[in-house]
Amino acid sequence: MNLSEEQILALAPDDSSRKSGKDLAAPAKWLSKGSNEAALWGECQGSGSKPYQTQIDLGNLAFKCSCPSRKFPCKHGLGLLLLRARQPKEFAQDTPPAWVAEWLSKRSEKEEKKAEKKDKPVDENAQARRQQARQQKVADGLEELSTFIKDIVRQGLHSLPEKGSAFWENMARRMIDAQAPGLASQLKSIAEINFFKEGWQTQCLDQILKLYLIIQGYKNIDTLQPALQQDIRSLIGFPQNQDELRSQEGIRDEWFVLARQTSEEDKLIVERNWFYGLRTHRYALILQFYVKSQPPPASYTPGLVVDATLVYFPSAVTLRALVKDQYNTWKAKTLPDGMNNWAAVIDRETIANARYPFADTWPCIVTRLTPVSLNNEWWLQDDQQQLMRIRANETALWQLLALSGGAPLRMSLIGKEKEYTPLGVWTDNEYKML
Amino acid sequence: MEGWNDIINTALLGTEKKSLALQAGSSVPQAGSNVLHQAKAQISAQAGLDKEEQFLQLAALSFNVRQSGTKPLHQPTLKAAQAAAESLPYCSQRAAQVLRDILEEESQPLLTLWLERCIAAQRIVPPEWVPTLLNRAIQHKDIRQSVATVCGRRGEWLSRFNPSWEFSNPVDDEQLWQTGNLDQRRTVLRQMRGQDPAKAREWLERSWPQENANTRAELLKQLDGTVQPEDEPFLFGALNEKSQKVKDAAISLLQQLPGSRLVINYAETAARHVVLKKEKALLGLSTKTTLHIQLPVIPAKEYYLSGIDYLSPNKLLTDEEYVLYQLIQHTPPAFWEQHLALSPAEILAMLTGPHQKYVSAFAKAAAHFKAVDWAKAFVTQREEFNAPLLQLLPLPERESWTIQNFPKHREPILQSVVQWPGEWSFELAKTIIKYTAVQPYRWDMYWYKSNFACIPVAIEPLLRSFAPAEPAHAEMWTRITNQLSHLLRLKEQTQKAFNE
Repeated sequence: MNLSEEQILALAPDDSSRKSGKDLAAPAKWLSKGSNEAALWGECQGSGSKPYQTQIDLGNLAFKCSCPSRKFPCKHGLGLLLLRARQPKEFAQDTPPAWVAEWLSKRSEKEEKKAEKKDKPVDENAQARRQQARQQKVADGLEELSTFIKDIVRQGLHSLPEKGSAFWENMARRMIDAQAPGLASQLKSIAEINFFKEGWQTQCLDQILKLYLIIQGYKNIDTLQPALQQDIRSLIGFPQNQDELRSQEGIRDEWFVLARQTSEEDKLIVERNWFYGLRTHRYALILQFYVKSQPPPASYTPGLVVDATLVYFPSAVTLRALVKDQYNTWKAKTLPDGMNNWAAVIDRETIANARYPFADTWPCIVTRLTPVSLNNEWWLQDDQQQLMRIRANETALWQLLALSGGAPLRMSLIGKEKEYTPLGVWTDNEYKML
Repeated sequence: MEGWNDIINTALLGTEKKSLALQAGSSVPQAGSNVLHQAKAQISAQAGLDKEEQFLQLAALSFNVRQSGTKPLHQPTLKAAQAAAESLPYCSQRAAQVLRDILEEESQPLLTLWLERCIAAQRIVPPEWVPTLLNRAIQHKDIRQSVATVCGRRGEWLSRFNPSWEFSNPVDDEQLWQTGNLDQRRTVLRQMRGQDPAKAREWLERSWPQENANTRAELLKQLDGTVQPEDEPFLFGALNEKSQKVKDAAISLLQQLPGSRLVINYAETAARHVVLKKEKALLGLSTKTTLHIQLPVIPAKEYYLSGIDYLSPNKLLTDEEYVLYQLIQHTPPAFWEQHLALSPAEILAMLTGPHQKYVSAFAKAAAHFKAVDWAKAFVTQREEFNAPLLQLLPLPERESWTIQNFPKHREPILQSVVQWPGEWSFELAKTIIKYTAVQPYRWDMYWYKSNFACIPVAIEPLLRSFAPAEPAHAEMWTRITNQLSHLLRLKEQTQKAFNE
């Protein structure tokens, strides 16, 4: 796998690691170094008496280093990767020394063990009782939420801005008690709406209506198709058994990593990785949750192609997925295809919304869009002179304009209805993040 | 979106006060509108549904109709203005990478260096760097010109959309001179003075009658250091101004012209009072030439002698001596070589005893008229440190004098060397940093960062060896060394990045 310098630096946990990593990307800092197709390794003289042994599994991009740093990856790992990106000739093709070979074989053993792990015997009765209790709690919670929503509708939304976020957060806590964390987080997202900005009314009503649809969906769940049943359950917050998913066959493809978006929720980092299958032409959303100071379970760098098998979570419109197996990663060489204009985007969106009306955004790649200014706002224009509003922060917007220079670009976006956020663009066959 | 607006209005007021009426001709697609009307009839017909439930059902349905029937805005005539094609190639990926590192470091001297190299190599930055650099130049006026250059045509195009990047849009100089504010006019006048001195003078002459006194004085000051003999008539005219500010500015410029009538008059007046006399020495066996100063000096109080004060602010100089002192200060030193037929060193050697008080006047004149021979004579004969004279020496001589005399004049030398243009030599850097390293709390990282342009890359391997003996200081020095080494490596990379 050959990562660009930018992509390597994006792996750094903080600025100081990035800086130290760069300093270590000099041949003189390494007592020994080598690489083969599977791994990259080197010995770096640090402040300790023994040199630190740094090793990188190139297949799945995993790091290991004998230095005492708690950061992940540490500066040595970054430095070694950077050095190889800058001066690949410095690395002779080699057989790995014992310490590297041992680690690699342990890693593959672990993978196998994971696969072999068998389910423990389950007390089915207890499980059923637990299930029933939870369903009762959820049903009660939904009843309460239904009354709450009706009260709002009866009294009118006009009084909501002055109620403040506590109004929604209290209800969110009630939903946590009712074991419906999915509903709780949707209530919290209403609390985050800026009630003093034009357009809050639609934003707020949309969210309330989605909650109403979920409640109604759950009440009539037996009449729904199995996939939509599953959607309703996961929107409420019933967990999905990931081991069960992992045991499914999945879809192997070369997945282009379009973007990595991170946000913080309750001291937890939520990472949204958007993928696009180069052969299957399907989009996928890989979610990762981890504690701030800890490394993410896996790292997907935008602009890279991951050869992997994904399993989609069951849904009326499959999008969320998990990575079952990952084989290799490389820098994208080909352009992913995309839709030609907004009409195509809307057609696809209409079908998706009709099957699954709960989405906040949908991903898409459009082949030719030009940023244009109209009435002091920026829009994306397709070849048919159709415009959709850009929703982006200042930095991303200027970056987009600079890269475009008024010319159409192939770009990846997420959005819905009339507003879209550009994620990245292709210029000169290279993918650039915004 | 009338249909949806009905729903929002009902939702805002509450079903208690308003019930939902779906109007015909709503903007949801016709098919969608029909569906909604049918649905409304069905929902109303259902028994046992309260008003809220009815509203929620219909609203949820409308919400789905709305989000499944989006129509983009159609603007058949709207066309994006395209940026012009670049005439220069982009810098290498390596150079862009170094730029990224420099921007992370927030080191202004490094950024300036990078921009200089990029311009010298006739390269521009790839488009993705344009917004970052333009933003940086908002705060740092000194790099605006270079940023605008390296951002190329894309920068020009982009800054049209952002008023705070206006500086990167090429504006006609003449137009800016005529319509800009005082600050812009000062800048453009100074620039034009550098490119075409005669044109700059012409600008001034043409607009002179329209300017007020304050602006006239301010604009005149922009000619400082670039006065030419051709400016004399114009400046002479300015001496007739009523405003003292304008007069002072004109005088100060005329004093910079060795051939101006003003300066010649100073010199001739001074010459009458500074003469050589032969005296008998050794009981009349030999003769000795000495310098004589004849006072009182009575300058003609004509208008061109203005610029000379008649009252001494210095108690060591009488009023008359002070007049002579000023005349010497404004007389080109070369004049004395001719007048007395002696070399600078010989003249300086005669300034002893009661004449000692005029030494600094000669020194000022030497610095003012950039008399290199005199500067050399001063630094060889006199022990005192004189920064402006030292600056006149050719670099190798200046550096070797500084290294040699550093132990005697540490503080003034330190203040002076940081203002020298360009990098210090390896030896000079060694002398300076060896000394500053001893007190890392006084000469801290901020000092090294501010004077980073002076520090040569070659000194990097030696930094650690300068560590002070005191542990607390040594620790601080290690920290400085780490940061400084990092910056120096970036400097090296910058220098190399455009050589490939």
